[in-house]
Amino acid sequence: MEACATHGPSASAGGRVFRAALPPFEYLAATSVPEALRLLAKFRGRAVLLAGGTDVLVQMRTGKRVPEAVIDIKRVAALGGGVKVERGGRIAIGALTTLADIEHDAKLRRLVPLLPEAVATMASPQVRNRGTIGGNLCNAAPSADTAPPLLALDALVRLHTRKGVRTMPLAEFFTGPGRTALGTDAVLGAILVPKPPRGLRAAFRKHGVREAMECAVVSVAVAVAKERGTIRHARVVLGAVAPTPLRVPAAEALLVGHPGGPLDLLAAAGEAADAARPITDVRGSSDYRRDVVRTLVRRALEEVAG
Amino acid sequence: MSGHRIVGTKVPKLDAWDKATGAARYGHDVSLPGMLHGKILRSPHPHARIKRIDVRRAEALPGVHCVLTADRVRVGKLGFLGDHPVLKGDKVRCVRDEVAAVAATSEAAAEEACALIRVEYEPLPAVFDPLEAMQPEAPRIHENAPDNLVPHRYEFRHGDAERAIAGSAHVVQGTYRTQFMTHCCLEPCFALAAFDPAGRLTMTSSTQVPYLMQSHLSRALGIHGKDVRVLQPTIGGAFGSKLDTHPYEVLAALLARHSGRPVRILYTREEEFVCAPTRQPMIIRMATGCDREGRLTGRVCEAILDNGAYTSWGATTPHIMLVGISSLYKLEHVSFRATCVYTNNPWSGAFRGYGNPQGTFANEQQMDELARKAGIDPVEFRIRNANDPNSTTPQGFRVTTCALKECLDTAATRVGWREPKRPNEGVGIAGMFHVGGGGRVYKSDACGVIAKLDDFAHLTLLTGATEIGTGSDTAMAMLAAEELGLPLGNVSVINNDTDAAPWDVGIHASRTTFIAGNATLGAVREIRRKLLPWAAKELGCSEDAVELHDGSAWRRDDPARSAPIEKLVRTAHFREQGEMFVGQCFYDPPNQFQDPKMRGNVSATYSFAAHAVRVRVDPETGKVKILKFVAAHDIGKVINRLGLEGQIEGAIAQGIGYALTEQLRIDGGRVGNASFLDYKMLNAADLPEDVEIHFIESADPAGPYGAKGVSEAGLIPTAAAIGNAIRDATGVRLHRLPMSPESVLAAIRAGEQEALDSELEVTGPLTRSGT
Ligand SMILES: Cc1cc2nc3c(=O)[nH]c(=O)nc-3n(C[C@H](O)[C@H](O)[C@H](O)COP(=O)(O)OP(=O)(O)OC[C@H]3O[C@@H](n4cnc5c(N)ncnc54)[C@H](O)[C@@H]3O)c2cc1C
Repeated sequence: MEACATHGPSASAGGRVFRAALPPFEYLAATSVPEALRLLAKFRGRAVLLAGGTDVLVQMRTGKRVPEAVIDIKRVAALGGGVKVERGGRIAIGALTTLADIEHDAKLRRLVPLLPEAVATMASPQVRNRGTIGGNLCNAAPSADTAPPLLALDALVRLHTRKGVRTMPLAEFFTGPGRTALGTDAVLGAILVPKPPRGLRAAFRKHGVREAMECAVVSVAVAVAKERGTIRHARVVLGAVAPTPLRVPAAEALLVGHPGGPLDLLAAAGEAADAARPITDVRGSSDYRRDVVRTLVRRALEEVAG
Repeated sequence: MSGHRIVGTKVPKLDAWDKATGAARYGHDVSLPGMLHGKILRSPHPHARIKRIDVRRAEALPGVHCVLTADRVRVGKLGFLGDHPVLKGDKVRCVRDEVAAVAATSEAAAEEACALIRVEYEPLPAVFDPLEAMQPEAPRIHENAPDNLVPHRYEFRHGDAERAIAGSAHVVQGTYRTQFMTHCCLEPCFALAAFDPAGRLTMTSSTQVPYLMQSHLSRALGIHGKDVRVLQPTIGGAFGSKLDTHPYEVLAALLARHSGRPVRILYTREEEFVCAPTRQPMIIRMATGCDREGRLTGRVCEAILDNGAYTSWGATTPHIMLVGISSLYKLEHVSFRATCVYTNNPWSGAFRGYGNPQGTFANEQQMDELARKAGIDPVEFRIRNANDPNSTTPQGFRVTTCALKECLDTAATRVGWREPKRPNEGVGIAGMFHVGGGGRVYKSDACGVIAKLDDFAHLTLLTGATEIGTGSDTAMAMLAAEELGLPLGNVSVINNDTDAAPWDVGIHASRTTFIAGNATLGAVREIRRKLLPWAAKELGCSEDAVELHDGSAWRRDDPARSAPIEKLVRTAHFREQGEMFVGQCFYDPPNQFQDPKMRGNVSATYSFAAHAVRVRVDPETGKVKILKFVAAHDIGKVINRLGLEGQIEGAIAQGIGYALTEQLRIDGGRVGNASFLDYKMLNAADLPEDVEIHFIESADPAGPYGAKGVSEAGLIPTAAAIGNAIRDATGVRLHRLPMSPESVLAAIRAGEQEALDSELEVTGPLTRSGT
């Protein structure tokens, strides 16, 4: 039995009304990065950028976001450009590249299959046709499915601000749930994936109740490169179990310099489970999530390091 | 047996084309000139006293026509026990509660006006657990129910179950808990109400019970039933949720009456999750015993239902829950008691299966456990106890046709019951028993059909039988076409207007193909009787020698001689003192209303089925994958094979969701997952690829062409079959739905711990790797 005075809106509010209509907002379509930045500055945090809208519209409809203005960036050519392999082997992915384009991109499938494989587990074909990789990262959900693979690949992000262009490691980009280094006055231009180390093998695992249309309860990306039977490079990254996607250096350290035998993998998986700081919510309890981290990390490592 | 030309074939539903192309008009597509938009302000508290409501700012908002609160309207209460006020005036009892309603020229203005209403609440202690609500010190939810018990008890006793169990060779007992599940109708609720100048109400509605709705609305609004007309557009799903008349429907009418304009209320998807009824959670304590030979001796069952804050038809689910518990297998001693308890949770309603899925989850898992204890194969154990045709069950159900044994045998064989299993794989089976020939839960279980054959040989069936997506229209059209020898394309069904179509009690209890099908046959047979003399005359033979098929009448002894039916009709019609071909039938099945002791042959026949399933359980995440699903159903007779397969497949999908993933998470009276993202209804990708459906035709003498009702049957045994398969795969049994990965893993871990503990006693301490 529970007294209920502690929750719910204050007694002065009349109660709950389920709104069908979006609250009013101004719609602006930017055609260049400077224009987008100018508009962002004008609204000082009271505007939201719109790419595919698959996060923004849901948030507006549920009242999580009530922006004064929506700045559509879909037609900003400098944020598009798809997938390009630069000289030296680095891959540049325009922020507006759709999830579907990433899923099907031949270059990515050849060079870094981890990313398209992870993207293929997201949402549904319809949402993937619409949603963008930039939107997924900038929305900064702890469960964002492109984050663990990109972190495992040591990706960087290129940001446009009024002061110019800045490149930073993706690992520093996420600052909290729904929060990034972008602040309120920057635009994500591109994601840069360095040329992967020779012989890199990587795997992605996502646990949810459903096979599609599912937010990860736990996701895991691992990447391992071996030289003459010894692990020389290791990345272990977790999604949905901390305020931001989480790299686990302690687990990586237990792998590097070792052959990657069953005990090495178990130890790394245990380290990952310890590093996870999951919450309990409708999708799963914190204990369960930790348990699943251990299993998924071990299985992913077995696939790539065994 | 056949010789049928249409019955038994695979026919796309009559509305398939419209639905697939988007031409179908649902309630959300209907609007009227001058129509206003209605919105409802709901309680933020699960339990609170309303001290003051101030609507002045809402009324002053431009576009607002009308703001209603409890003290501004005179309106009767709703619900099966009349405990449900349409607008809550003194007190709110759950978070759905309607505190005010607004009609405005736009939806946005109506929403804004709701937000401007000030309400002063005094929160009251609330109770969310039925067991706690039964404690003497629990907060009281309804003044006239001091013990928080819904004043309607369900008790059934046959023989002496307690003694029979005490004397059993093997006994299984356990407590089973089921969850809140919601219908997930693809079309959220809507209501469109309009009064004509004379004060007559036209209600456009997705109700399952248009004729009962007439009287519900007449009582609530204080107008005569003749002044209520119910129209039904294409209905986008109901599954039992629209067996009741809901406050939003009455509110649309009240707003229309007070504003003098048509008013439409549409739910948002979130509102649908929070405010539409649910399947009632149950706590079921059950014990079942058997003798050394594996024959059931007795069963005791006590169930506690979370009724939520108000009583809907859902509170009568123990009636149907009991049918499976008492009558799936031969049982001589049964005792049953069910109690519905008020809580401050959202209130529960009727939902496909009507209590039987909950009960079957318990009793079919107990059958499995009992078979194990008795050392008998679970399929063999069930077959040993299965009902036989022409028997009477403890509740007085007269089982006429019964192919349960064949269903069990087919399902087990096809799933590979005795085939070797890989690690972590398991097989499970469960049977089910359900009403298949109507269900007399109301004084009449009847349906009226008027059939009219026009001078182009187009047949129109006018009926009150509602189509909610089950394909009942198509089945009726097929029966009529078969009987009159018309192509299916010559038949249409009109069933959307209480002014035009004759009475029907409503679509529930898997009854429509059986009842409306029989009514259809009655009506078209009258036409046939009128037509045959004209055919005989035209063909120069006796009436006995006439056959009707392919749109013509034929001389049986001389296939060269035929006459188009339309020509016969015109011959009869266009002449002096001509004749019109109309037939009508009001079919009320030979079944009984149950007495207060829960006895009486509630259905004219009963349906049986068995589901068998092969699963693989991930021992480290708890995720259950269904590798193969076999459903075997005693359906009497296949009318539309395609529609039947669709009904079973859909029910299996809903049943798998019920078993593994679906749960409306209600915490502190609040819904925590009001979206399809977090309410885990399954998608195509989640459903097993290998699904086999088998129909066993037991040719029921009471059914139309031998058919029995089926549309709930596919959901009922599914969760138990999966539970049994999980037990087979993992060695652990789950007593709680849904059997989510997390709960399966917890059960496996607990089982391992138990095994480890017992091992420790023998071998001393062990360290386990990985922990
Ligand atoms: C049904 C459904 C299922 C989903 N399933 C998944 C899933 O399985 N896994 C998953 O990870 N996500 C899922 N999502 C979330 C969503 O689809 C993805 O996050 C998608 O990638 C968002 O991209 P978008 O272009 O639609 O972003 P938008 O909604 O347009 O934007 C998202 C956020 O990013 C900001 N933004 C977008 N582009 C830029 C930019 N270039 N610079 C700065 N800020 C920017 C926006 O202002 C906003 O804050 C699902 C969503 C839905 C509706």
